[in-house]
Amino acid sequence: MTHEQIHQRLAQRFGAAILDSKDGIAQPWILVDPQSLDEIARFLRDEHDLAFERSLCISGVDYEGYDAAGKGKHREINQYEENGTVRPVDFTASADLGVVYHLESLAHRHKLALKVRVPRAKPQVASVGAVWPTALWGERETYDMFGIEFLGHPDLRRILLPEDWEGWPLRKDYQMPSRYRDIPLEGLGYSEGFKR
Amino acid sequence: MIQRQTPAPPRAGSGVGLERDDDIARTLKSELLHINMGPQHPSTHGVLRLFITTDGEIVSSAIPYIGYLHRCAEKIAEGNTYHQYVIYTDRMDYLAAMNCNWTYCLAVEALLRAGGMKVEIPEYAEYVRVIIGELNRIASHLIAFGTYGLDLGAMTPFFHALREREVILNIFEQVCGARLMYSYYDVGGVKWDIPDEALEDIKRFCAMFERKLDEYNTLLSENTIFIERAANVGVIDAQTALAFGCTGPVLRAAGVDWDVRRHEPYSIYDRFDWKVCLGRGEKGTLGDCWDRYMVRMREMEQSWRIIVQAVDKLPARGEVMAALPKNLKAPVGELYFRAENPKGELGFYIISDGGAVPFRCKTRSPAFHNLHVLERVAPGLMISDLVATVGSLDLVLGEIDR
Repeated sequence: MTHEQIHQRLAQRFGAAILDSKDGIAQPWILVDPQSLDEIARFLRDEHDLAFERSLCISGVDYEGYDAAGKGKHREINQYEENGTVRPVDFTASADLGVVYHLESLAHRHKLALKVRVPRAKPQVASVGAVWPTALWGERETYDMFGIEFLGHPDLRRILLPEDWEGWPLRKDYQMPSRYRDIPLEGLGYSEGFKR
Repeated sequence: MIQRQTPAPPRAGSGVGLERDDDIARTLKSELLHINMGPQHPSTHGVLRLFITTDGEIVSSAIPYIGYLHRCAEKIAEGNTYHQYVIYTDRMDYLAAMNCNWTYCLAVEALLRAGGMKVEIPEYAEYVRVIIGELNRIASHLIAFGTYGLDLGAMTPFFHALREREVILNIFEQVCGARLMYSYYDVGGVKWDIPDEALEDIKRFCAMFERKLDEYNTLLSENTIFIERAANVGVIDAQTALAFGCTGPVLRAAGVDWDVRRHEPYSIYDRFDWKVCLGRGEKGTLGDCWDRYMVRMREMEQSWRIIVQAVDKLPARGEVMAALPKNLKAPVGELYFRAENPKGELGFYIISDGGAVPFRCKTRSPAFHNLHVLERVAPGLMISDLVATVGSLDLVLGEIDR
């Protein structure tokens, strides 16, 4: 199936829950409503002409500072002044977090990038772990790094970081804590951000 | 002094006061035992901790705890240019660093092409990439083969495997100066040409390696004790493998005909004559430990075939790098690219907003998902079979934790 056909199928069945779609680029994508993601996922897997039996990759994304015009604004984050002090960053709380699901069907040899966007203030997405068990760990990793909560996940714990770690490291506004338990993290060059 | 109110229950096996077997079962206190296997345990292939609940010798659940080697690779990617990040991909799968470099470079090249940039990898460099990449696949599978023998109590195969791996590492040392962390591939090609001596060594290696494979098979694959330990153990069927995102030899051992090199050919893999190796369930059930082991053994033979053909067809020496701007900026766009690594499908999801560094660079690690399936297959295994199953997944913790 082409991307346009897949989009048509989803739009017919779910209507308003399919928010956006982009075709004609290297990797076409479909943006859907995070609340009905589990139904959409089940539909994508179970329909015979779609049959997305594999979830390849689940990636969290923090769109803070993302500039589609290509100016690369995000690189201002954690930058240094001339005299070596950290430049203060002004964050707008409105920028979204997102999750991208890369799906594939071996039977039909077609692929799909499914996207959701969630507000930073309330990052909640329906879990698709019951549809693709792979997602259970992918969602745990996304939770670990971005603090996105997957509703209905049976075991949503941190996976790579210690369970009592504070903060969500892959968010763009993350600042390294000064201590972890009784281990000082200051002065190691980490808490100031990555010098470039 | 406190007086005991009820008499102590009779000791197990003493036979006092017990008339029937039912009574023994009722009186014996049986409870589940929690054991930590790892993080420092010789059979976990790195710093993997398995939290095991056992009922006697039978595992009732095994929960992997990972992250001991977490190095924030994805955060680091957001602060480094596309060229600079190549060295961090070395440290993911440190047994197949060449393949990790290669996949990352392919991903960036695909992103550049998607944005309309012209990236023409020289023909000669493509052949060099295939030869070196397949040599590293053999080296990685040799470690898998050798350590799997160690896990199951066979010491000798390990020395045979390391002997041949040494030859490959010597070739790599001549090519790029390093024996483990190569950073040999770069966006646009490879960093240096192969020296003449190394090319001679590769030819000598090809001439000798096929015989060695027979030796390994005699030594371990067909060994009755080994078959007893590995066959019918830790069966992962095709449906489970697909659902849990298993890739590479784990997926192919379950009988699923899927190899990215064959079905979505990248680089120049469509020019060579080779087979996708599948599990056949010869010694037991389809998708058992022996099948996973044997798929790797057969893949070494196929890699050897690819190298022989590539060395044969190697074009005249020329440029090894494409002409790319020194200050590389990827056009706005995003792409998920995956390639077949020794452990499975390594994927990179790169989002660029036009800057010199990626906006987001997600790594999809094959061993991460291959480990996840252990939660499903472990219940019901004996503890010694759990060791056999973990070994057959060929995990590298550097890649799982990133």
